[in-house]
Amino acid sequence: METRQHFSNELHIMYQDVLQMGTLVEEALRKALTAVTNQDYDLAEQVKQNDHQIDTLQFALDKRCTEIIATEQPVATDLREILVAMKISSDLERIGDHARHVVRVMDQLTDSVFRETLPRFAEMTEKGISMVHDSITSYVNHDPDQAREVARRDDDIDDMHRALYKELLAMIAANPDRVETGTALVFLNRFLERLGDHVTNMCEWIVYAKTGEHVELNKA
Amino acid sequence: MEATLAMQTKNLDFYYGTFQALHDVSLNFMRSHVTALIGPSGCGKSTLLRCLNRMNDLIPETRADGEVYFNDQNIYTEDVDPVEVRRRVGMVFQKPNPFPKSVYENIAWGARINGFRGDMDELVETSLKKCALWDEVKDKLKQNALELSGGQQQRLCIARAIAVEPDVILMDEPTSALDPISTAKIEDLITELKQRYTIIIVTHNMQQAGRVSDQTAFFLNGWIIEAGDTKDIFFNPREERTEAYISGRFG
Repeated sequence: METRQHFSNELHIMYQDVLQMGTLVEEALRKALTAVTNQDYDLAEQVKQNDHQIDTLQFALDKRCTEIIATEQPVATDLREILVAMKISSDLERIGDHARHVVRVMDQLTDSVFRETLPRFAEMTEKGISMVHDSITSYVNHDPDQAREVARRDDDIDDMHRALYKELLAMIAANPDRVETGTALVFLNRFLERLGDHVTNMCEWIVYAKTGEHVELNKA
Repeated sequence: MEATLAMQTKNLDFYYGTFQALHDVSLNFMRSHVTALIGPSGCGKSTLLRCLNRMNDLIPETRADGEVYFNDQNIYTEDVDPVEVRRRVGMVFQKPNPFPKSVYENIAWGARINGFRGDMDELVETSLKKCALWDEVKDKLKQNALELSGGQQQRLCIARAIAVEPDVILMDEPTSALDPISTAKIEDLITELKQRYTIIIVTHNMQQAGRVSDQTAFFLNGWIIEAGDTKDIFFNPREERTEAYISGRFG
């Protein structure tokens, strides 16, 4: 007979909350990319609204996890899973912020000088979306091998970031009257690079949940 | 400082008649450490505890095969006096069991029959102080011990056990009959006492095992399933059955 049914139910809801948060974050990034590509200001507004929802979900998840710890005294794998849910929700919340950063520079991305960088930003964002998606899949499947594989893809984002950074600097140097616009895009480039780091953090926690060992994935 | 062995069992089997309650138990108990024995009812943990000071000798038709070492001496050899073993390896039981005598006599009695010739008043005071009970009972030394609260009675039993200067104290679910405050006092006391004594505790309270012990051994059906540092057992056990038990999924 399964014992601690209430505890198991609480953990199940916790997993569902993380999954829902991951889905919302992935959706936010997808909408942000579409909004920028199509110059869709209504969709951009939705991304901002979504971010409030993600933040609210993170608070609720943290509260649920704290209550489970206080009332159920979890140990071993259960305890690690709860700690990891809190850690992952924190990274997801930060990734959600980056979706908002994308739509915030919508006008700069279509500036006549910098427009040609849009496909590179789109590619980085796509890469980030697939990393978020697959990391959440590895979380749900308790699959540390998949998490390790996802983290390795952060190298691609880092490469894109370096190349785009150089390109943006050259464009700013050639167009000193567009320094402000170019700087905003340098920041966006940095935010998307950070997105990859957050997914890597999530992957490290997924490995930890399963093994109890802290690992540093993809550190140069 | 590296921990040294206080007690050790080697390939210990134990039988109640034809029923084998312990199978091939080999376990080390480190000096000045607290070792917790955990496992579901009937797993053999209390049987093992009683093997460690030959209390099981008092139960008819029981048999122990294997070795139990205390200070490098197998306590199951013929030349060992079980009464002396029980003086050196004291025991505290689940239910506080003070003698129906005064608080003072509860401490003095054991020391007296063990031939103590020193200052008895000093021994009583020191023993009660070691158990953080002196301040509460110093004005009630002539009062019947059964008039103390349950928590005070249990600390008195611990004081009684340490008055005869044992090396090891065995505790069989010492707080299961106590309220949370009394339990916390006993747990604090265990942490204090381990500076001087080796403590081996049987407990059904997983949080208690996690809080007070340095090492934990998990038993199931008379077998050791897993033994190791308490932090490892409770945070990352190697065995699935250990995990299932400590997380309350069976037992």
